[in-house]
Amino acid sequence: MKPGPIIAEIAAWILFFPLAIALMIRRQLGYGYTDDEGRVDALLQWYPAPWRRKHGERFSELLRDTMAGGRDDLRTRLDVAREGVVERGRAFSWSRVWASLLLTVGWIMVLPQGVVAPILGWFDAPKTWFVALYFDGVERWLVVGGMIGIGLLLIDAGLRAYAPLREAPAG
Amino acid sequence: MTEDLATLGRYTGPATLILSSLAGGAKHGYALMQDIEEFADVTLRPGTLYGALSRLEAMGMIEALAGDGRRRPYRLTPVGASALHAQLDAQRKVATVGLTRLDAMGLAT
Repeated sequence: MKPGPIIAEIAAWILFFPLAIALMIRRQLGYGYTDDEGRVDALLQWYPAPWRRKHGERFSELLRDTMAGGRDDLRTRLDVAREGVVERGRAFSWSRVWASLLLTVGWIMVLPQGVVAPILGWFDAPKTWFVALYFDGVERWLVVGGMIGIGLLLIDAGLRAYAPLREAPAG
Repeated sequence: MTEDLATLGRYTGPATLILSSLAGGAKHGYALMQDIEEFADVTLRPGTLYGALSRLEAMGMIEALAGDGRRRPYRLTPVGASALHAQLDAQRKVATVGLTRLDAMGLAT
C-alpha cells in the first residue's frame, strides 16, 4: 500500500476525533436541545447513576430554576460538568472496574470470537485476530464453542459482580 | 464534638456561605444562590452549590425539609450552627489581626 493514502487516513482520523469529541461534549453540556428538560437531562448525565438516583430530582429542580433565572451560561454548564466528574471520581471502585472487565472480555469472546469468527470462516475472510480461524474442521468448532461457553460464564460473573454496585448508595 | 468546616476542602468557602445564608432561615437551592449573591456578592453555580449542600447534609450540618413539589428547602441544624460559629470566629480573628496590622503600617484604605 502506498504511504499517501495511509497518511491521508491518519490525518483524517486526527481531525475527526477531536471534532467528534468536541461535538459530543457540546451535546453533553446541553447545547442543541430546544427545551430545558433536554438540557437538564444532558447535564445530569455527567454524574454517576447512584448519585443521580439519590440527588437527581432535587438537583434537576435546581438546574431548572437556574435556567429559568437566566443563569444558563457556559460557565454554569462547565461547573456542573466538573462537579459531575468529581462525583464520578468519588464513585470509582475497583469492583466496578473488575465487573466491567469481565463483561467486556465476555462479550468479545461470545460475539466476535464465538459468533462472528465461524461466519467469517465460511467466507474465507482474513484470519486477523479471530482465534478460531487459525484452526480447521472440528478443532475450529471446539474453539468457537469454548469461546462462547467461557464468554457466557464471564458475562454471568460480570453481571453478578455489577448487581450490588447498581444498588450502592451514593456519597 | 463540633465538625470542622475546613475538612470540606475546596467546599469550605461555599459551605460557609451556605450556612450563613441558612442562618437567616430555611431556603431551597435557588433561593440560596440568590441570597448569597446578594449578601456576599459571590455567584455559586449549581454544580458547586449542590456539591457543598450534599456534603453538608451528609455531615448533619443541614437537613432537607419536606417542600412544595420537587423543590425542598434546607434548614441549618445545631451541628451546622456550631460549625459556622467556629468558622466565622476563626475568620474574624484573621480579619482583626490583618486589619490591625494594616492600620499599624498606615496602609488601611
